[in-house]
Amino acid sequence: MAGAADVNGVVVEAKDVAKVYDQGKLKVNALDGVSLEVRAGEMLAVMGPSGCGKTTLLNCLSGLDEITRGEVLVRGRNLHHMKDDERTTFRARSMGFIFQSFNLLPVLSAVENVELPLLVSGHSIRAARKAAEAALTEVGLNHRLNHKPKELSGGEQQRTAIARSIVNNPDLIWADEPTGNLDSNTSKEIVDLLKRLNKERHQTQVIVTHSEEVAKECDRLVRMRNGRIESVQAIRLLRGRHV
Amino acid sequence: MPLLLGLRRRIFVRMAARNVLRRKRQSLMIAAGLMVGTAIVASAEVAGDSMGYAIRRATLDAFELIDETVFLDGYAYYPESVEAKLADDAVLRSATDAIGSNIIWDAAVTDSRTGLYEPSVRLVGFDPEKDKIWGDFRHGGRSFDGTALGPNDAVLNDKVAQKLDARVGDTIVVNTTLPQDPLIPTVQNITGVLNVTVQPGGVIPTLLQDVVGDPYLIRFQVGESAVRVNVFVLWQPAPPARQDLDAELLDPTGRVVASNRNGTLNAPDIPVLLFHNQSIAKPLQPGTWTLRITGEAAARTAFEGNIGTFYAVYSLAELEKRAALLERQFGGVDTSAFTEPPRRTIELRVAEITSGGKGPNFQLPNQLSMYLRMDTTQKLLEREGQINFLKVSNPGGKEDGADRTDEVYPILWERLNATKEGETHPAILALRANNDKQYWLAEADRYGELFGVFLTFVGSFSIIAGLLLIVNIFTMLAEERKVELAMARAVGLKRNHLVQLFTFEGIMYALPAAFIGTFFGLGLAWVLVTGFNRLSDPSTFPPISFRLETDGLVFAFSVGILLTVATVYLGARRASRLNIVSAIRSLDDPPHLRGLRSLVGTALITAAGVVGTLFALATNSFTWQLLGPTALAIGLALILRRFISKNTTYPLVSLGLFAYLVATLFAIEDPQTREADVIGPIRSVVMTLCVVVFVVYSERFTRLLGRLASYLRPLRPVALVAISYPLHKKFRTGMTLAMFSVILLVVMLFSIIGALFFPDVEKESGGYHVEAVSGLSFATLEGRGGDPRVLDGVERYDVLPNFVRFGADLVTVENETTGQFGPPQNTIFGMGPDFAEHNGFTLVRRLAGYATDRDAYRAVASSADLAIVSYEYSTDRDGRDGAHVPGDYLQLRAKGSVKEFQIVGVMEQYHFRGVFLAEPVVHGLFPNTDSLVLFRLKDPADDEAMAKRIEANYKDLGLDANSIRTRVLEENESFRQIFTLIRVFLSLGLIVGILSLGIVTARSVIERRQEIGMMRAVGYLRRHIRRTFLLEMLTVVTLGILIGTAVAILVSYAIWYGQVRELRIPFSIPWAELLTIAGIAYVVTTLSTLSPIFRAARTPPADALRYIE
Repeated sequence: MAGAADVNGVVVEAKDVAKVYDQGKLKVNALDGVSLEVRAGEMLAVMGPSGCGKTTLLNCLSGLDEITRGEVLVRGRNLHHMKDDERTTFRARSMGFIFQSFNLLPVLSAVENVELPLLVSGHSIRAARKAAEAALTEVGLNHRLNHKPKELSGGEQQRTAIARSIVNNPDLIWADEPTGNLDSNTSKEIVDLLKRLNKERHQTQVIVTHSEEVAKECDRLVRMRNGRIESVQAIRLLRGRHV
Repeated sequence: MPLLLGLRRRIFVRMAARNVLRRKRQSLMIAAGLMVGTAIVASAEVAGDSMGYAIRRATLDAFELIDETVFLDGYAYYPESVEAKLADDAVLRSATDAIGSNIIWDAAVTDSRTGLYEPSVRLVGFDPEKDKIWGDFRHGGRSFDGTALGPNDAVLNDKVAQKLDARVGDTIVVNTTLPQDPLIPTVQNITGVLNVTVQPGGVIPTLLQDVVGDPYLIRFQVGESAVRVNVFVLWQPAPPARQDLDAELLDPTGRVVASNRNGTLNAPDIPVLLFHNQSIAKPLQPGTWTLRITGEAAARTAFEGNIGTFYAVYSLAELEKRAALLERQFGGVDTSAFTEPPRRTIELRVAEITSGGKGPNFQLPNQLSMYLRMDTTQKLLEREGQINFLKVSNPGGKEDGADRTDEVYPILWERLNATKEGETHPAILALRANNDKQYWLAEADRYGELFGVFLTFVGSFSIIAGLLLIVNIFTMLAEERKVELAMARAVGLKRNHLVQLFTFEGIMYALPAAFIGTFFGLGLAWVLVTGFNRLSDPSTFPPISFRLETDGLVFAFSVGILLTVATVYLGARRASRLNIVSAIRSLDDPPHLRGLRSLVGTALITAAGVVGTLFALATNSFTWQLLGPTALAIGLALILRRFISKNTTYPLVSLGLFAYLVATLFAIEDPQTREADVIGPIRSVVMTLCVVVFVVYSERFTRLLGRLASYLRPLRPVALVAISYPLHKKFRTGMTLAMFSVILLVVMLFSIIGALFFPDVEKESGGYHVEAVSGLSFATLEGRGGDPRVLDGVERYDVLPNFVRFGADLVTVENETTGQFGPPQNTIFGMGPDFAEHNGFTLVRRLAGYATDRDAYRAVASSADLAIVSYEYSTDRDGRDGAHVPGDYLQLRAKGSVKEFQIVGVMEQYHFRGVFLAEPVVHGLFPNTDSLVLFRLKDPADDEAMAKRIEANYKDLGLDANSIRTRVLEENESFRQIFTLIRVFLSLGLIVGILSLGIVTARSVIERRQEIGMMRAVGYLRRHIRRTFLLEMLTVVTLGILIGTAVAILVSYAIWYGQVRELRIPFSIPWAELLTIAGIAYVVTTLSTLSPIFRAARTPPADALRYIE
């Protein structure tokens, strides 16, 4: 689903986004008027101390969470004006997700886990299987297709999760601490894989991370503190291939 | 013990208390689950007590003040002087409160105003003055003693009044047979014998001696208590000089007591008949009697005949013995015409209606009774000065009086024997004292206790399910708190500290749960009792009043606590075995290291299994047959899993054990083995668990199912996910499935067994709705009865002549005695072409060559040597099904010869038990038949009313008409009621199942929130989430239903095979009922899980992903 970005090359545009968690007497401003543009084809890292709102930002921008104020446009479409089903379908077709704890279903094999986004999108079983195998091959797990998550190493599990995120060819990947549960060597492998996908598939990737190592491999870095964006800095020159 | 520990480790108690209060809703659900066990025990105790008390109450109400009785078998009559003698006996007078008498007889009653007729009403004669001490009649809050009754007055009990629609002031016509003394003849045949003494019972071969001269003397013996001699002699051909014949009967002194001279023989074939009667009070003189025949003509002609000596027999056993002897001698000849006692009719006025109160009423729930003054009764029955029932009341009331029976009963016997001294009346000599009330109260207590045990037994399945639920709940609790438990371990808590912590928590749930459960059980018992009263027919079982005994409640409370704490302790031990690191990191536990303890445990279990199995082989013990191989299988599984994966080991071993249990299931054959009754159900639970283990560990198979389900478009995205979690959480899935399967097993099992005793009225009735029996022989109702319009409501009727033969060996199949239900009795029905053409009795087996049932019926109706038989004739002496099949030959012994019929069909019904032959054949064999009339009504719903109308209209035929549906249901009423009760009780088990699935689903939703978040992130819509959880839950429910039902069918077949088929009941599966139960299980469990499922679907993906327990 590698589609074109808007005319300005902006894939995701957040305007004054706020998210307040209402916990009875306590109201937590997880996001406090965040505005941000994610450009097509870039790898954007989001960093900040724990509780600064990184994951909340990712959730709000990807439509996984509701926002309290502001608007989020993905390819010009206001995510939060969509109904739940519409937003879910939109997400399924244009986005992929990678989580820190992989979130693989334990009794399904690697290939079955990867098939899920396709099956829910209405693909036939055969087509889903074919695409899942291709995705796993692309992440280097063609020899582990029928292994269950507990038979895979942490890195392999995350590769499987990455395969699941790319299986329906989204042009936008959201990764929440993709290396959080991995050792440094494996982390590097995963970052390299993400970079390769970014390059080869021209994917836009938003990566929430605590790791400077991961961040420095990205194009831009957004630093957050107390629900606000503290700074946005370019780490590498934008190649601008997709603009 | 844990409480004591709690004093030492208060921190654990505090932690446990806070855990309980942390999630109030969940705690409530847990407590509800824990309540179930207590509630089941409490309700079983209370319902058992109530039932026992009800039976006891009914017994006391039936006997009122009567503690002991004196009467003869068959209510034979004896002089009322016995009562006077006993009443005057000083010893007895000081030992008892009162002695009284009654007449108890049977009569037909018609109400002249309503025209309604009741063929059998218990007639009780009582002396109102003497009977005052025995209590009053009661009706509508009023009581009366009957002294106001006139000689033509009657008191009807409310049951009769209801049947007749009778009111006070109505005229009723009472018709009754005159009581006959129980005289049974000893018959000896005589044939042309001269000057020979014939021994009683001996049959002398024909020996016509051409001797001229007279007299011809035939001598015979008359024993003690003979009251009549009948002589019957027939010459064939008749001698030419008939007037030359004289016959005389001489007693042992040579006195002529009866004679027959010349004139009797006024026709060629009229025999010589001689009678001599004495009264029972003054029997015939015992010794050698002589029949003297004189007349030259007689000597030249062969004669035959018999001499019957009638004895008064007051022992039922002796009567049966002599009746059987007669049946063998004269089988097939209906002697009722000779012995049919005369009848008397009297018109009476209904003076009062009573609902009970008097002792001699024997106010059993369905007893139809009528009370007349003693003098009226004696006059009506021509038994002046005689009674047939003596009653004795001990000091004390109606309940504590019975406590003194041990003291009074021997005295009564002794004094009764004393009154016999010098008496010659055989009836008085045969009188017997009975300790009726004591006996029946003991029986009532026994039944009550049995009932309680039975309910507890039935409930034990639900308790097992409840225990599985408790284990499940605590396993889930442990999983939920895995991280904090691991933290606790990390900071220094030992494993047994965790056990204590959980046990304290368990106790905190268990105490209030057991307390509330006890009261819940009370409520449930009330529902059971009320439900039973509503559902059961009050005419066959007395209403149960709710009865509370504290012992039972304390027991239930204690058992509830004990079961819960024990189960929690075991659950806690399991939970305490966590791996600290994997728990903190939320990873799966690494495989357990199998140390020495595990090895020793495995070795011990395996050794026990081997020993148990050998013991089972050696002793053929039911218990060891189950325990030995089961332990062996567990031991094997523990050994094998060291080398092979669990997914291979467990299915393999469970399948092996299941196969063994099925193969040996049919060993439950000996109904005498009580051990089988207990172990049988446990065996079925073990079988269920085997299948559950097989299913849970057959991952490949389950995944294949998931894969196949994915081909269904709506299930495509959800099928694989739905099987994912249950397979991942095998212990929990196994426990849930086991619990649900066990519940379904028992529900289905009792439904199938219950259905066996719940006859299919359609099959039993053959398309007819009313049956009517008459002792008269007739072929049609045309020209009979008062009002021919009664038949307007009848579509058709068929009259079947029939003859009842007593004796097991009078009808055999392939010369073997067939199965009999109740006393040996064979009814031979005659079917005409109309019946053959129109009856709807289906054949369960049919001889090859007959294309349809109708063809078989037609063939029998037009054949002299074919038969169709009711189901029992296809069984052998032990009731084995299918022992005889169509094509076999049936032997009917009649008139001293054996007639053979080929069986062409076996009927499915067992309501009209008998052999169906062609009508002419029956008439040929049995000249005097009874009649069975079967009516097919235009409006089947009108059966009860039509039966009454038919009965009232055909009084001239003495028709006793009944609704077939009612009769069929009545025959099975007690079974039906018990099974109704069981069904109500088993609904508890379903509550456990529903609770469990609700809890498991709720827990599953909480645990899988991250999974839900991931699914929502990758594109699963809310409806997909709903569908996933629903499919998952329905998979468990479906598997539970399938496993429970399959094992239930298997086990019920084995039970039927081993024990029920003796009752001549064919095995059948009530599919409609099973489907209904399955449907209810689906709907209710779905409803119980909807809330967490919808909550899961509504959870925003980010919330779900963020969730950490």
